[in-house]
Amino acid sequence: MGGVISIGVAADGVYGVAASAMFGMLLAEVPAISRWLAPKVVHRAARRLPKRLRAQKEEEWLAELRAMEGIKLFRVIFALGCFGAAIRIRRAEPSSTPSHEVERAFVEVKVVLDGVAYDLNGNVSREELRASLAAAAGLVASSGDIFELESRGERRWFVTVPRAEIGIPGAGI
Amino acid sequence: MAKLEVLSVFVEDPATARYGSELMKATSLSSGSLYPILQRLEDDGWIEGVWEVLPADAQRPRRRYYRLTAMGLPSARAEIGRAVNLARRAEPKLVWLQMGWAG
Repeated sequence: MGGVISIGVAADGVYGVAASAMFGMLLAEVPAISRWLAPKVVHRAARRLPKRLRAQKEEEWLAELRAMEGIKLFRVIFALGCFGAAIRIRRAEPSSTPSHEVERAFVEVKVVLDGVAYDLNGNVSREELRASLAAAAGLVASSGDIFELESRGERRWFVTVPRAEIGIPGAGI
Repeated sequence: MAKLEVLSVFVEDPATARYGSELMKATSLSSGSLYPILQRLEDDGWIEGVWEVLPADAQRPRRRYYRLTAMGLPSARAEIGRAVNLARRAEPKLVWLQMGWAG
């Protein structure tokens, strides 16, 4: 029984030494990790910001980070704070939805376009067609994809547009 | 409260432009709290951000400085004044509450 206890104590001692050695090694790596990690976190944080602020804030935060002296871990803490700041700033932004996340909806183009209808059977690029349809419907030419549907011998065209644009004269769901 | 802390640093010396980590030290706010406040104040036109102009051979990146605008100074003073008045009005009640608590 005494032998088992002494083996247990010895094992605890070995683990303790190993753990403190590991901790020491990790501690020694903190400056290097911080130098590498903090700018990466700031870069990620900036990507969460509204588009208009991304470049400005990233430059500002990286400059602050570079000027930071003293405990290296503070750089990581600062960078993590910037991440939180970016989320808060984005939430406070009135139109905080990034353009690629804009909800899109199908909008039927109810405009009869003889020219376009003719062109559908002819040689017109998809971009030109989209621009024509969008312009005819009073939508921005940069609107999304177009769809052509034929039902009961009737041809209908649809474009996808940001949901905010619905209601523009000439277009209807 | 945090907004007032930031404003009070600016009002202390309105002519001085300050950068982020300087404000963090002065207010004890974290970057996560400070920058949203700065952004809101800038969007509201109370402060303006200006980039530091560095010589061509500078060894560090330029910093962004913030300072009160002509509109921001009276607004900040009024905001701080309102908070001080509120605290003054609340103080007697707090003293009364403390006395009541003490028996």
